Amino acid sequence: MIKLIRHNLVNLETGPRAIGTLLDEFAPRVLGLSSGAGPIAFAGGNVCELIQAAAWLAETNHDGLVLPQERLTTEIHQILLESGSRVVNLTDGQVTAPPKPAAMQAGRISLLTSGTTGTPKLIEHSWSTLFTMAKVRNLRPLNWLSTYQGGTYAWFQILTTIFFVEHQTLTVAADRDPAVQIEAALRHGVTALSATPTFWRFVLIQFAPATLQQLPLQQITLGGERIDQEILDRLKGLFPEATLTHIYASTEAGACVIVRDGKEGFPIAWLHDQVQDASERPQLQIRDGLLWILSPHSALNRPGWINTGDSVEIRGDRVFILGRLEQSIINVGGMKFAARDVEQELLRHPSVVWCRVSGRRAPLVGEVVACDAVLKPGAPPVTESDLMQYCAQRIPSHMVPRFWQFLREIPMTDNLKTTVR
Amino acid sequence: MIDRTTILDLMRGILQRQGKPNDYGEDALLSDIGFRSLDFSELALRVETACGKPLSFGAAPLRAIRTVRDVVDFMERASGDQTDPPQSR
Repeated sequence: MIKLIRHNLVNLETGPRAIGTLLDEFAPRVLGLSSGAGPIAFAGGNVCELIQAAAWLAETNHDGLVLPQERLTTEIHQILLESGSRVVNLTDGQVTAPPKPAAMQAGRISLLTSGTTGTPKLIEHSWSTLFTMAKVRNLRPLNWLSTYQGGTYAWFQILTTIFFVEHQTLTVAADRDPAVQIEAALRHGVTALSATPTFWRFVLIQFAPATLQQLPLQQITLGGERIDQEILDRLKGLFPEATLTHIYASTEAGACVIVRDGKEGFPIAWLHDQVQDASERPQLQIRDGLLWILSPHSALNRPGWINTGDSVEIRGDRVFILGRLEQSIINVGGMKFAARDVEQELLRHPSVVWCRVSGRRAPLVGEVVACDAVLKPGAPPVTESDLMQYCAQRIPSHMVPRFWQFLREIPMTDNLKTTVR
Repeated sequence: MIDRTTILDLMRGILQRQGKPNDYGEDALLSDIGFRSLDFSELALRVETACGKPLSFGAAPLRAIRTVRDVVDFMERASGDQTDPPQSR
């Protein structure tokens, strides 16, 4: 069991707090929970509460999962209960028992996939598989800003560093808006920043280079989407002293490709790396144009070779990861989500009978959300303003559709399927 | 080029649809009226649609935007001939 470092700090809006203090404050909320059998899914609450819940799971070695409020849809609530987890809603304190409690597996941490390629799935990790920084010796003291959504693999990468490596600090912004995050980073002197390329593109427009250079960055980590040379070069130019790392990771396979040479892709020689022991480092193969991985960081319930589903291309002495070819993901200012999550929320509105949500190309943020909808005949009339405000109460603001088209009937193809997105 | 009244109407519509107050003057600060970066992107897309061509953005003028007037000036220029100098009012 890896030991939680209670004196590492978390910079919140209200000031710095030791992890131990956060845990002590959280303890009364979980009185009695640990004595019950089976995994616990902590859902809802704010960023601080998610960190508290994760720290509590780490310290008690309890079987569990954490999930932010915006992901706690009715469908996901059902998935969690069917998996045998008790669902603890951190917002209202409500505890829902599963119909059949699952057996407790100490140290198991489950992550829920985004569901962008189907129904969200529970991926089982342990603190050991999540803690990929374990092999890094003498990591310098760093103050990390995590821009990732709570409960995701990338979020746990930062969190395990704060939890288990001495002299690491986490800075948490009040909002996931990139501008708010950068302002928090400037205020707290963040020295290590992990984000997507889109996050940086957004920030590079919003802030003057001289302002950004006030960030005393020693470590810049890029991940979560395709990394191109242009963004690597821009960041290297802006922060020449910082170590620039880009990581390819997935919830199932873990962090598998970690590149520090400032170049897009990874060296082709890594494909031919004849490492026999997968506990040492990940092995990489290309099969039918797709990247396959055998990794010591992979999920407990995903043993063996994993097909990442991501396309790769070899050019010269580098391998370039192109990502999934088919997409139903919307990316608003670096915040990615499945169109389906918005559609499911809208379909619960009493006046909406059908909807199709998509990304519409927009200046500055890449995409904004658009929605075609068909209203239920005879239902109370609604306007786009009504539906926007309905959504705003249920999903994060970047997911709320801004462009609406009300159709008279549901569009269908000849084989009675909804027309392609 | 798209005129100021149209830009102001589009801007009011964006805030109104979100249930935010839309009775403000051109001197109002964007932070005070709750006009955020996503709203700015939406406005830019609506202006693009209205004038039928993509807007061209410079990072430096964008960073200087603080008030409703700044937004309208910016959109007015961006939707006009890019080689034109900024217009005086």
